[in-house]
Amino acid sequence: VDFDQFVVARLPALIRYCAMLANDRELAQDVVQDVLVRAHARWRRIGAMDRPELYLKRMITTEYLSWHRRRARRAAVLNRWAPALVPDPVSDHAEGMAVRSALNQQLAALPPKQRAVLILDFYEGLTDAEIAGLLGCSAGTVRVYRSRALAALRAELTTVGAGEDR
Amino acid sequence: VNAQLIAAFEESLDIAPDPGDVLAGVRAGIRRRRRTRSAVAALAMVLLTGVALAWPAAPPRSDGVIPVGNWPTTFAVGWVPDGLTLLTTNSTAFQEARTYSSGSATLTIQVDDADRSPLTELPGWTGFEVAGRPGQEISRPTRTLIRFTFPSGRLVEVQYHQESGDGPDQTALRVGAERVSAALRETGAAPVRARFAPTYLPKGQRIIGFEAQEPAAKGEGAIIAAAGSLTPRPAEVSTEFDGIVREQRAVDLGVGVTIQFALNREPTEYDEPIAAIGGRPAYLTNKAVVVVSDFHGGWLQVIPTVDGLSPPLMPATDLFRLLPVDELVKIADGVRWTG
Repeated sequence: VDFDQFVVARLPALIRYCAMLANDRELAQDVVQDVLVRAHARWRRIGAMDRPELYLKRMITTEYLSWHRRRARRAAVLNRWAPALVPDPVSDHAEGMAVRSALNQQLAALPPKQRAVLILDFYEGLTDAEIAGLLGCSAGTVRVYRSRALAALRAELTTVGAGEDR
Repeated sequence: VNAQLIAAFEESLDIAPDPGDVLAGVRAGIRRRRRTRSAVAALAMVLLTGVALAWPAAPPRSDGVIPVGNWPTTFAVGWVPDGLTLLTTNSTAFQEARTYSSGSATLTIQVDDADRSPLTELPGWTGFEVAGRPGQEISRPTRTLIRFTFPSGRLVEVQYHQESGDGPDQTALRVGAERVSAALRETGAAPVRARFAPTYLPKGQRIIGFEAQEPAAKGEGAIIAAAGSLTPRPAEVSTEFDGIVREQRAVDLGVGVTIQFALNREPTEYDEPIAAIGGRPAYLTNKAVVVVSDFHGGWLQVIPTVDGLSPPLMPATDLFRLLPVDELVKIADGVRWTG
């Protein structure tokens, strides 16, 4: 598949995934743009893969997580000098969410990797092995992230199934 | 749980950015990268004009077909890890590449014909010897990259890359890439050959390479034509998704077309029927790519490119100033199956 065909077919899905992950319009746009610009430069390799979309999702996830880490580090340094001026790095998702459901607000406050695991599992339907590949961790770690995320959300989830908290 | 979570996630979709805005940003980003490179390339072009002046255009044959030629493959792959099969063989006037895949891993071997400048020091890379020649290596859980130069001075880059969590681990990627590198030889192998050819190319363009899809017997592949000087551009260094600092080399391609034959193609909602070409149903897609169906049991696509960029990243209005749709139709109409 060439880059243009891929973009035409898969851009909406990538945007959806990134919007859910970032919960911030401008950030989602920046992340998807940056990732596609970088992917274009080496599309020969990416396009030859069996599932280029999965690879792009990995790039999006990594880019988002690295943005989140950068922001958290910057905030931690600034906080020492002017705590009142710096928002809590974890609460960025929750900004402007007053009109949204309580569950959505709780999802927004989850650590980014836990949030990513829930999106990739429940919304994108990926297997633990695929999620592990995307996040660069083991399948066991994916299960831990999911379990912790669901435990944090338990108050808002009316029912919780058997087995791995699913 | 499923339904509640999905509903909650879908609440986030009302803040999803507009795809048109994202696409515009991608276009601008790619242009920005190219502008940065071309500023420095101007000086390099002056110095290297003697090396890479115009590639001689192939004279038309008596039947009007512009010979695509047999594109040489000048390196041999002595070993690849079990399970990998060859996907594509690419040979152009400036680069050769081969891609292998196993589904869970991809191996790419790329040899740069145009730019023989020495290896540069990059952060995180370590010195590594390949068959007695100095090289560099970097290994991460996601992939291993090895760079070295062939005896001719051509830069070789080997990348062995995990595609999913159940792919090879870091050690297997590193050991595999090292063994592939050690088994590469700078000797000729079977050339790649197109089974179709154009009879018309826009003024200034000539065929600069061919990419064959495997299995080659099916005839799938892409003829690459361009009007650029093929002058090497200064290498661009960037940090990639897994933190690897990578050097990318490119050449000046200018305005060009890719003429692609594929047995399968998924129709898209952007396909807009146009007048039949050579009696075959034809479409304009992304407002700029001409697609002809029923071409020897497959699909023919004529894709305009500007410095390697093609629609939808390059707006149709910009493209049509350089290559009007009539020209694309004329190219498509002139493609012949040569067998």
